[in-house]
Amino acid sequence: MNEHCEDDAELFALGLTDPERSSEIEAHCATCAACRARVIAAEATAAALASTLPAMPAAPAARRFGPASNALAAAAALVFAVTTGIEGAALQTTAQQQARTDVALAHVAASHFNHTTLSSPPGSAVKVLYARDGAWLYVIAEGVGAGAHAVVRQAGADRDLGPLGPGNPATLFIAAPGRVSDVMLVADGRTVAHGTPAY
Amino acid sequence: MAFEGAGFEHAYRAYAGRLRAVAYHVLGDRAAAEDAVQSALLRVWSSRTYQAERGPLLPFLIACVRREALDIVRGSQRRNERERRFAVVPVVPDPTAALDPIEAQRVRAALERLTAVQRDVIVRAYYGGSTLSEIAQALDAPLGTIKSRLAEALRRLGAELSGGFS
Repeated sequence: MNEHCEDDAELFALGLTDPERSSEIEAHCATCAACRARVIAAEATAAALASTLPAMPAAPAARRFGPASNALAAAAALVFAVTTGIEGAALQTTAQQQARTDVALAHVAASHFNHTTLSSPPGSAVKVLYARDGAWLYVIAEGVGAGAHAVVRQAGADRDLGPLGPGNPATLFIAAPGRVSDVMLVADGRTVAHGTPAY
Repeated sequence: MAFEGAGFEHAYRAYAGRLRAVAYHVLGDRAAAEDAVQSALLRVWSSRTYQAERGPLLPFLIACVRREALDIVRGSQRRNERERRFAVVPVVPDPTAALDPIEAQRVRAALERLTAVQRDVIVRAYYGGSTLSEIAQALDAPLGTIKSRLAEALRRLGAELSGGFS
């Protein structure tokens, strides 16, 4: 696609080109500095228009976990299904928990990852998802009670990653932990869950 | 890679409000807007198309989210809802209700400096959510004319916002 974008640069920035044309424009801009500059300028103006919009209305106090109609929601469903077995369940979360979950899920969706189930007491379920390159680690625990800390073992030394968040399931997302040999949940000085990731 | 590690987390936290506002403006539904934002971000992240030379991240993401939302509108029964919502003549929103009231006032003032024809086509396309064909029909003008008029109007608005036309 070597044709210059011309007026389509502005129409693209406004979302008025069809998906096929939009793909052509992105591909063209990867190699054409002039058209890229024109698109960037048009997007800056479109962003200025966006700043005039009111915020999306506030969420209700508790909200259901988002609709399972896209790939990210599918990643979310995977995370919670492998963890708790409540596939497609309506998880009540606060907006803050939702934001934390969104961050974690976006990492999960963009990475090659594995997951390991930790041994844990009956009635609880603890899963750890981890990027194969050690870029992140995501602990999801159901039914372990409040206040548990995630502890990892690296090169024979234990490192406390901090407490899991509130709610049930409780979660903790850690960026750049590196690869670890063991993951544990520790509550009141006692190891309540243990597993060994396999990278 | 701009999206790795904490960079993404920071971007998401910083921009989610803006992106949701853009999607909600088009879709008029909280769940659908959230869906559009997540789909757009996922597309960007998973395709890894964004590089620093592509320009500032926020305007790039805003454009991606608006395209995603408009694609949803075009491809679904939401179109009927949208036509109902946008049935009234669109106007520039009240700047005091904007996410960024100061910038909104500046944009509104810049829009006022456009010609009436340029302002009309931007308001119809951006705030009214009309397609190019709908605008062409409403103004009884050829599609090509509307395309070039809108593109020129946006360039002119950009020039006004960045300090004026020489």
